[in-house]
Amino acid sequence: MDLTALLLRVAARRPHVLVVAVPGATGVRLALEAALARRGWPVAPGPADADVLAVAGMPGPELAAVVDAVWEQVPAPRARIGAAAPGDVDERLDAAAALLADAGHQRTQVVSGNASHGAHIHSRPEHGDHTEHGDHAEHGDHAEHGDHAEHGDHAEHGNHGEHGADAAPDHAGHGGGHGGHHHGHGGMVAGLPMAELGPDRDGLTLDRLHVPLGPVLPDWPAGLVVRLTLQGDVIQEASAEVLDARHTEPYEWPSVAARELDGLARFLGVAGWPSAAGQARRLRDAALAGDRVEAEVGALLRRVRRSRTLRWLIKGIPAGPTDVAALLAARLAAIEAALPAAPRAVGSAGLGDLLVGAELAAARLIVATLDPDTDRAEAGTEAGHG
Amino acid sequence: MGEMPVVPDPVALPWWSALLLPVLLGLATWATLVGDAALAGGRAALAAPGREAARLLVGQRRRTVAGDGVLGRIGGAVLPIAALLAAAVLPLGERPVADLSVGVVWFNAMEVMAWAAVWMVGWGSNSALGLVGGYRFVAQGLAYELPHMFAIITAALGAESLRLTTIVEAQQDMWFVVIMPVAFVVYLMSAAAMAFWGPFDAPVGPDVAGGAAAELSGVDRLVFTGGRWLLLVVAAAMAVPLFLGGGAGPFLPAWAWVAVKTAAVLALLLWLRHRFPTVRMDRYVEFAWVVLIPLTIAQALAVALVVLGGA
Amino acid sequence: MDVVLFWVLAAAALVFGYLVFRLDSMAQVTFALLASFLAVAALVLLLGLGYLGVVTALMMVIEMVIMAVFMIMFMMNPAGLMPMTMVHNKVGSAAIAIGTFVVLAAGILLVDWPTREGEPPPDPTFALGEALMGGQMLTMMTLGVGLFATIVATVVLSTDRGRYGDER
Repeated sequence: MDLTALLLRVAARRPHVLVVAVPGATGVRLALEAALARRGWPVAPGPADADVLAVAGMPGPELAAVVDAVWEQVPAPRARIGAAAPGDVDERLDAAAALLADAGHQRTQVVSGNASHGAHIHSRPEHGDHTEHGDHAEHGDHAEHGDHAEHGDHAEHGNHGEHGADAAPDHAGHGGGHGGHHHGHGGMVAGLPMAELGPDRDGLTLDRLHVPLGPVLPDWPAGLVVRLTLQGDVIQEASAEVLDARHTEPYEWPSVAARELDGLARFLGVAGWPSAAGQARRLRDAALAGDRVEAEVGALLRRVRRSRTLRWLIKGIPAGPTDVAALLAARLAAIEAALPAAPRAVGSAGLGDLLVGAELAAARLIVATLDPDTDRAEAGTEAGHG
Repeated sequence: MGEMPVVPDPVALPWWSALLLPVLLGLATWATLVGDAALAGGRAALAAPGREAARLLVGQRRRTVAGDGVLGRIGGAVLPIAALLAAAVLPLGERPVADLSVGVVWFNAMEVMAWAAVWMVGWGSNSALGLVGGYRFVAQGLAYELPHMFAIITAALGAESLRLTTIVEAQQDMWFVVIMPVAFVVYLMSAAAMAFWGPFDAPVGPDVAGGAAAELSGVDRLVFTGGRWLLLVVAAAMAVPLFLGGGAGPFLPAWAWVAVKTAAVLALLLWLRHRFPTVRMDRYVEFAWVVLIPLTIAQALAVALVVLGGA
Repeated sequence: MDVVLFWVLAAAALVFGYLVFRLDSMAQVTFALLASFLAVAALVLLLGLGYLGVVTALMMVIEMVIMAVFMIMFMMNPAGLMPMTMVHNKVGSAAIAIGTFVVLAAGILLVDWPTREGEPPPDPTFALGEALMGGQMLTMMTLGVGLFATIVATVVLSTDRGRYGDER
């Protein structure tokens, strides 16, 4: 009896899906999220937990490079799908499930594994590094502290222009400190740069770590990349950009309420309130389908407004001239009035400045309440320095 | 004061119950998972945990560049082991597997292991988000551990014993939840925090893409998540002997009452996550130090006065 | 059985203690030290001092985790798991560690231990507390609570506003 094949079939009925949203292809993302909710398939928070990598829309060159890098990090069994139009979604998901259940195919999927162990995917010795850092592997000899190794190919990496830099914007969590390629001084460990030192607000000299956030993060605006310089989890510098900014056709929302509910759902997701976020998402899908949802929306708004805990958690997080709590209140009012919320035109430019001085969780909340419209982003990067 | 306390004979279950314990806990955890899936509104809630386990069993384990595999793996394995060891002093019915005279402290020591474990897992992946998750848990641990200690010590104080069976006996007339409600509420909160369960799930929060668990896949993730669920179940079950009178109750046998009460506490914890958003670390730390610790100290003082007055 | 357990735990305590000097990652060193302490805690349990053994384990886990956080927070790069030794004066500290061990071990072997008179008390921890504290128990408890209240009050006052104390 082939136990692995059996387990694969059982597991393929409920795969976890990592959604990569392409700027401008919001319609596909909405269809994908609705399909996942209908099937009861969980959304994966990152590549490690994903079985299916689903790209919603046609990515431009920069985002496509990111998707390739993320795909490298998805462990087997795995399937990769792309949907160009909302109508494709269901067919592609079915195909992914079939692929996941296909033991013969999945055995070929194990990332850089040892083929002689083919019988049991789960007993396969883990492959070395399946991140894009593979090319640095020759540095594996643990360069010593003061040893400023001549990392020739490392400097080169920074010169790949936008591509080299963008190849792994979401790898904050996946390989660590990749953004350090811009700096690349100090020692190297296994091809990864050391953090360098910088003064903090108390006048201490502390390590600085370069961590890019996005574009593949849960409840994150499509295509947005925020490059952070962290000390601990406090942001010292931040600059935001949108990948493939010139390639996008803005998505026209058929319903303003749905647009704002979508923003609310993502905010609640970041705030760690999955049940309310799920409710907002269901109402968004219903509003898009043309159902009348005023009563339920009213109930959701009451629930969010009445939550003293939520208010306590978000009040006093500054977001430019206002704070996160005020921005949320504005969005809730906008949903009620079926008007677009006022401050959401911020775009990605200037976003970096708002994040300086915040800690990581607060920064996620700030981005989520601002909900920058990456479809209409202008090209270029704006840097903020603290 | 000053005379030797009378130490009752140990009333532990026979040795083979130690083998039964993982099975029992596993079943309870499975039931909790099904309940959680049902609460989340997922269809086919009955099958969901099984599919999830199968998925992780065949999943490939991955490793990140320059990660600390030794610490990461040890950390993951410590979680379920600590949960099982903590459960050893849990009275299943009237008797626990090991009726230690310092049961309450033993339980707390095992819980604290989870603290080191999550940090090790977050550290081991050599990933910024994983590390942030690990650090969050340490901050949360500092903030929950002191109120938690005071809460369980209050129960021990009420019974004048650290032995769990004695604590249960002391509640024959009145459950401790009645005379020490603050300690009970704080215990529930810190029990959820210990299993980094919502609303205290910031260490594995979605805002850091899974935090400490961000880089885990395959069996590693199975062990980590399984250990977390076991911790939750054990912490919930421990509320029963500490505050809810253990197996006391009419008609049903003691073990059934323990099961019923544990299920009720678990349902309460599942509902907590449904009801509240994730509490951010900086806010929770402040709340714990400024509000919870003084409250639990006052509660312990009140109970101490009652005990002294009644003695 | 107890004898076997004793030797295994004693060997574990020594081996992990040795690893503290050998490993080159701060995190691993910290947890090697913790493992060594846990072995010692188990040895205390073996002596029948349940409370002391368990409390040692409890406190050591907390202490080591906090130590790991502080050490790595202030001294080490979280990005690269930079190999770095924990001890600054390796030779000196190793000499002190070995010297202390030899002196203590010699003490154990050379001291003329008294033979036991009577039975061990039913609760050794209680008896130990009585012997150590005696009539000062109330004083110590009051002191302890007073110290703790001071700590809490300090935190309450210093946590006034924000992480850096100056904003929001």
